[in-house]
Amino acid sequence: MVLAVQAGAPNNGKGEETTGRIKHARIRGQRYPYVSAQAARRWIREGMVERGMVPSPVTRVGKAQSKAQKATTGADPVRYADDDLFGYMSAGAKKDNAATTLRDSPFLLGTLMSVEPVYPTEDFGVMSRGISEPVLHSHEFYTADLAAPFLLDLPRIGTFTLPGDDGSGRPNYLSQEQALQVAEAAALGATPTRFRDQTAVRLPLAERTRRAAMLLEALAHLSGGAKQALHYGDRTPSLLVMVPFKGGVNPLANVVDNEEGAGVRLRGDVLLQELQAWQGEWEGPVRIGWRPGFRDAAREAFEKQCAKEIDEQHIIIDHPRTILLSLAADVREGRLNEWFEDPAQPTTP
Amino acid sequence: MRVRVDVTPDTAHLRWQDVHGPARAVVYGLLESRDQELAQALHDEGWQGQPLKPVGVGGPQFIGAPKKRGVYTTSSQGSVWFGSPVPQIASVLVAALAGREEIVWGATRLRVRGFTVDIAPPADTGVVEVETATPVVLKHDGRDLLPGDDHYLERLQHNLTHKADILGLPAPSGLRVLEAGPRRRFEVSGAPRRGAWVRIAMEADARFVEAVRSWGLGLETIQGFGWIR
Repeated sequence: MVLAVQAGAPNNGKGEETTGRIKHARIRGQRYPYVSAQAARRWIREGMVERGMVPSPVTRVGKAQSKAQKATTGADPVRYADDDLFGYMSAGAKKDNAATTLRDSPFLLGTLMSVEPVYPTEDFGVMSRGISEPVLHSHEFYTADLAAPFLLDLPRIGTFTLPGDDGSGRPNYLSQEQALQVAEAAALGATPTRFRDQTAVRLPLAERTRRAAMLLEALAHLSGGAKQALHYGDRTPSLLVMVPFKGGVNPLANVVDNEEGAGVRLRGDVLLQELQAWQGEWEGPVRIGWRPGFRDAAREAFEKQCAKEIDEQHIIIDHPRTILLSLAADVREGRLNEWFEDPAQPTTP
Repeated sequence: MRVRVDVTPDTAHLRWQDVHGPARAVVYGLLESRDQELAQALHDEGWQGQPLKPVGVGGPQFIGAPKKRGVYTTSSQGSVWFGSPVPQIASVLVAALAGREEIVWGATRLRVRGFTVDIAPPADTGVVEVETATPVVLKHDGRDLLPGDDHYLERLQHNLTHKADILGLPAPSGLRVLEAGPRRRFEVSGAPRRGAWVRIAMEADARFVEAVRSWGLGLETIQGFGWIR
């Protein structure tokens, strides 16, 4: 997904005295601004709350409680969709012999990194209203197209693995906490299953599809980030490429790049070669969201490269919101239920 | 959903009246400890206006128990199973077992070593075979039926159809008894129960197969009869 930042500072690093600094990475001696995945995941999570999701409560402990500072969510993926979709880690203190519970996130997101080197502008500001001695301050902002890969592991949504035997043949019993979580899942109609060689309980499909749809809808309405009073800007993806794929490989890794001096572009030739190489591992159509007016020349070039596939509807292009919402509707209404099961592995002859 | 509770008994054998006798009270005891209202309603009225109780129990079985004629011997490697195809009931059973250290089973105390969700290989919709670990109780005109008796298949089919109806699932068809064990007789609360274990084949929806795995075949499943192996 690509977010286009126009004169903005949506995610900032550690400031220096009176100067606010953007986050950036240094690659081959040049600066690449970025938005951390943590920040973008928070925007998505908050978007889901705005759309009616009840968030998992966060508790913080720290010095005041004479403990190492940490903040954890309710760590209850049965009850809270965000704990399910975004994962969590609730580390128990060793001295209290408390258990550590964790869930790997089924929603993976990379760093939203500028596709080209960018030198941020340092904006110099003065606060002098009604005071005799002005206060000087400054902050950085930039214009860049930020790209990141993302993955939504649909079969894992609403699927909670239980401790299996540890290989020594000894059964691994449920802790009291895990048992209560299984009880809670059972009350919602969860069924036991084998999932990726582990014992698991799985929420009813309707709840699992509802959670996935909610995430896609939140992506379609993405907003948030820092410095909006001074740099109000749009955060919904300007460009988005999605393909249903078996397993965790990302065939789109090199599909989005940078055309020197012109910003982001979508490589139709790369996409077609990747799809060819991964034949049998993906399912059409490739869904592309492209906001009207965003990199028109690049879009024209892409549409020319993939004219046949677009014509045959192997690739569909529409507004990112339209693409995401129609995909969310297909998921929610059960038209893509088979995506929520791991595909059967081909048997070797 | 069904769970397997691994237990260690404090007696070298179970009294015969304790093989099935305590099951029902143990189930209600568990349910009551978490949800008195549900336990009471299930006890007094059954489920959804039907007298059937959608709960199954697999009474204590012990790996490596020494063979001794006429005695139900135990070993330190025992297991008890509990299940229900109804989410609400299964949930309360699991919650009640969380943190439980002991189950009093008649004259025997079973120390709980731990419990896990008991998973079967995924059932396909179609012809399936299931085998019970305990005798199946069926009645016709107040008389206990045994495999091979007149009306046996008809009553078993009726029982399964009734269960499918309560759960809102398609009823199985093409029911056949492939194999049956010897006649067994147990005393439960002063009343005799007769039956035999069976291996049956039926054409059934995968969800129904999963449901009867958590419930059992035939009547008195809450007393540990008809539990599926």
